Amino acid sequence: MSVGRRSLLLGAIAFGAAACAPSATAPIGAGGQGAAPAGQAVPGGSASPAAPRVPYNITPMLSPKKKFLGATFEGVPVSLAPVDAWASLVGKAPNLLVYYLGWGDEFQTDQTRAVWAKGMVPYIAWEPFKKTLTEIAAGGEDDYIVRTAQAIRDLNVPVAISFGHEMNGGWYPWGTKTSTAEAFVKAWRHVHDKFQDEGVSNVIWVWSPNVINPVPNVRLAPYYPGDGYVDWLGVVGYYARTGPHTFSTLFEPTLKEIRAFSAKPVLLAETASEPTSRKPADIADLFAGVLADPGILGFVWFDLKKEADWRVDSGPDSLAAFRRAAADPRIGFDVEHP
Amino acid sequence: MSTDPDRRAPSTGGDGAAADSWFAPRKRTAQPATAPTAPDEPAQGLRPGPVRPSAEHPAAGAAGPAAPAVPRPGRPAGGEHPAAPARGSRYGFDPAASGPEAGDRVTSGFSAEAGPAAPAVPRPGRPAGGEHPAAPAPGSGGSAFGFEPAAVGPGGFGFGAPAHGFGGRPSGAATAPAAVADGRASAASASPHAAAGPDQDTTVLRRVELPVTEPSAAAAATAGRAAAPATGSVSAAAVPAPAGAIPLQREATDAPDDDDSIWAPDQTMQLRVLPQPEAEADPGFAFAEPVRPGWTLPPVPDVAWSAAASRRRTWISRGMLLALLIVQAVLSLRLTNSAFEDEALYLYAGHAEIAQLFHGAPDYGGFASYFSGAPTLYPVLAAAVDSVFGLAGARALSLLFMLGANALLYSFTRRLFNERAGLCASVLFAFAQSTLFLGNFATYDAMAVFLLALATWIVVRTGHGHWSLPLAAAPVAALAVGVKYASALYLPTIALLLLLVAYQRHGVLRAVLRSALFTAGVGGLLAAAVLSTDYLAAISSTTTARAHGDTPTLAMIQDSARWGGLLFAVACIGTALYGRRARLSEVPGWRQAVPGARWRTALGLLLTGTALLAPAYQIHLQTSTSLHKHIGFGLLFAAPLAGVGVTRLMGAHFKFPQFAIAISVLALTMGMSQSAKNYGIWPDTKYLIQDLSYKVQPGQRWLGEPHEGPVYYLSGMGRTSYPQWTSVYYIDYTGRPGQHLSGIPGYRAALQDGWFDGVVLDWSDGAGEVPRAIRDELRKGGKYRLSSALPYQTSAGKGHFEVWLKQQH
Repeated sequence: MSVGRRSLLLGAIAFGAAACAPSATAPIGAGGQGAAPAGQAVPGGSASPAAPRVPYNITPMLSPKKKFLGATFEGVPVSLAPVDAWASLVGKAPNLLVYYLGWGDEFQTDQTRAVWAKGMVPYIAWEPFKKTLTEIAAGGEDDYIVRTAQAIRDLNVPVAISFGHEMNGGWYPWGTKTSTAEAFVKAWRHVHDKFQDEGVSNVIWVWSPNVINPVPNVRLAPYYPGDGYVDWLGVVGYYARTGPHTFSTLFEPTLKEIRAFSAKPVLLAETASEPTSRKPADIADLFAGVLADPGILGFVWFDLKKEADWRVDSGPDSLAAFRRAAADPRIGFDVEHP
Repeated sequence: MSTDPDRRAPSTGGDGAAADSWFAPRKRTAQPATAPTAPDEPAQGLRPGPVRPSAEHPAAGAAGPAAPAVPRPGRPAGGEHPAAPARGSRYGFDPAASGPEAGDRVTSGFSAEAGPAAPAVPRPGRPAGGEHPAAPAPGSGGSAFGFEPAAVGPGGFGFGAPAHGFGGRPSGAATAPAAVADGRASAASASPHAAAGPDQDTTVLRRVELPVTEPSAAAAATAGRAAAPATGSVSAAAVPAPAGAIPLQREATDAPDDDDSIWAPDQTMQLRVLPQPEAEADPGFAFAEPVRPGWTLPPVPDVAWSAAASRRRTWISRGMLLALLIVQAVLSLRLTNSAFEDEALYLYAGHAEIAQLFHGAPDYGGFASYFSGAPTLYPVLAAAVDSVFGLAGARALSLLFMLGANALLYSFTRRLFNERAGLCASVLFAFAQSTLFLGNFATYDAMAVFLLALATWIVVRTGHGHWSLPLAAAPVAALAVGVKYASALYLPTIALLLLLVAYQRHGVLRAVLRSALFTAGVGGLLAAAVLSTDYLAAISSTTTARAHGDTPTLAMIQDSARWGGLLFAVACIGTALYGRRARLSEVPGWRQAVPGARWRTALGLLLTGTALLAPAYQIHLQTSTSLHKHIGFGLLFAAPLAGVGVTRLMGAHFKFPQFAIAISVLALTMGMSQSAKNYGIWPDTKYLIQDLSYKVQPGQRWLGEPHEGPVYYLSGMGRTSYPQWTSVYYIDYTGRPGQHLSGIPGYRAALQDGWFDGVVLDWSDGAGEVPRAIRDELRKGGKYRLSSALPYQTSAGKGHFEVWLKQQH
């Protein structure tokens, strides 16, 4: 067996080229990503290096030209079948989907990606049930926060997060009865900063108070973390059987109070109408109110039967009214081209 | 025959004469077969009848029988006559071996030829025909018997021996006839004759035309000249009547027609026989080599190789150097990253300088006030390359500089020591992380290293020569300082090196003068440059009075040891060993003038010690900025001694190659890993530039922590320019009437006022005070929103770029 001089030379050159070719495991600086390729867990640490890329630019989505048609359903985002059913009912697919994440539960990347893939902005209502706001602000939950932040960062699609919604009410553990405005603001800023420190820029921060009508004595301003920490103001208000049931009486007082300290766009983060005879009228009123105010981004219809049947198809008239109103071209848009 | 001494007796006198007369022509070495025909004494040789051998001259008897080889008595063929001998020669007849020759062989002595001849000769007393191997000659068939008896009779003397020599054993025949012909070996030659004894009564010489002899003759001719004559002789020899089997027999006396009939087959034979090689002058007797024209042996050297310079040496060394430089280039080009802030800044500054120098653009940037090298030198050159070939081209320029520096290092190391040390020095220098790093780094470091190497090379090259020649190094050294001010640190080394080199040839005084002249030249040039420019402030702020840092000394020593420790350690070994012993070559008889011990020690200390300059100075300043680059400057000077160290550790004849292998493998692995680490220490801005390329609009004001990269890349796209960017190092905010705000208040005020359209931040755990304040203001102020965060990973850790955009409402 004889190896030619030329083939030896060629082999040496090929070997050298292969040895010098950039690979994922090559050292950083020599064309690689280091010993631990992106996406793999670094031994002994929770942090995973992010694959370098251009992050999703959410800036246009912060104030889209048209209105969001948001909704939430039973069973989402594990199953997205209700979305299709609802879309066929009302004649228009929602482009924003709200679902809830209990504090301590792992963020489900796949489900969120599926939501985005279906043309809806994932909107996560993050509910700090298990830990107090003080604990969160003190940094005790940083591991969980960072882990979630990295998952969302690496997901690299827009995600709206509303942390501790309806903080001005007393019915949640993070509400007025067991916590304070200062604790809420501290916890909010802490979570927000942790996300930013991890290099997360694809989160839309939604500060989401309840309308002030049920809690007239709670001022909103102390709960507001600041414009630097908030992108949207997500007002929660329902057309209930009793109480205010017009857009102006239900939302305007709250909006007026909020406008005193923030000019951020408003999303009606949860709304619906109790099944009464005026439900079709409520629906028409909601659409009219949303379309009339350029500062309002849209609304999220709470399409669940919980305590009451808030669904659009609770009655044929309601459904017809919703279907008619949703047909407005100003309602809904392609989230990828807001 | 020889057994019958009587038969030789009669021939004694005549044979002796014949021998004498044959002797003369025989000396003409080329004379072929003249001998057999002894025209003058044919009768003697042919005389039949018993001959009495003379007791005192037995060989003569042998010669006598040889005479019968002569075909016919009275044949006119003279000694010189070609015709007669032709017979012999046609058969490959060697006169030396011929029967008649025996006569003179006798005179020339017995001993030498007897040896070879003897074996072929049957023992005395044995009948030649029976046991002689020649007799049953293959191919000769029965005819062989025919001329066995040829030995009979007077001619038998001559032919008895030839017969067996020639007989059927062509190879043996080559020697046998000689033995026969050599009557000298009376004992030896006696045997064949003895063999013929039984036939000695036959007195008729017969010439035999033997078809059967042809193959024999042919074989003999091929085998050797000696056999052939035997054949010829045989044919001419008297073949006894009993040999009736032979088809053709003739009386030896039938001379005239015989001739023709004999020659005819000979001629035919000649056509088939290979041309006979020319006879040797003196086969086997003398060892005096004949001198062939045009062939001269060179004088044989004492050893097969030498330490002396030779073309082969030079080119082999250069070939190895070339291979090394290719490796160095590959290792450098393996490094990849986006433009480091210094690279981007220098390139951009170069473009700005070109615009100002050649296109009359206004001066901005004030590069001259804070660059650590003249902005009109390297940056302009690199920017010119960049405008054609881009960043890769500017980096390739650095690669050329580093390759050139390494080649010059080899050259001046070779001059100071030898090729082996030069190659070892080049290997260690090529594998140093600083070399690999600078070879793909578009800053003025590579150019400065190259110019320093060039100045050093000139000094070493011309130090022995005319006093003015080393002055050529002065502008080069001055240019090196101009390119990078810190190069001045190495000027004393070059001046002292010149002193040492010049001292070897010119003594102390002249060496000092030359060194002083060189120093004055450099000093004068630098003084002129400083006076004609306003770089002095920059020189002082960036180099001589650089801001002190707070890097711990221990950490810097560790860094220096990691990056240059190996080469420095080997250089120390080289210094020590070279100081002890000057000899650089193991070649025996190596007789070069070696410098003295003090000179050697001084040279070693000077060059090795130079490696300590940069680390020592930076430790003094407590700043580790660019130490990984600066350490390479000193390694250039220490490398020659490191090369000596490696050669010394290897020992003579590469006795301990494991040292060299271990050192070079260590150097290679450390150099590769360290250069990659240092090259990956700044974040890749590839995606940041991609992100900014649509966020930065022309005319916008931006604040940036890495702003050099964006300015360099985005200005190429026409989206921004240098004055539109504010760095985090300096701000003079005048946005508020009547106020000059600088430092953190300036940044805060500017951000509160929304002065900037966007902000770029490099955020990692080690962020400085100003970036922290800026980020805090960005978050809390609410005027800006984080538009994108771009995570990156460097060899030092992780972080991300942040791009903040001013909010529209």
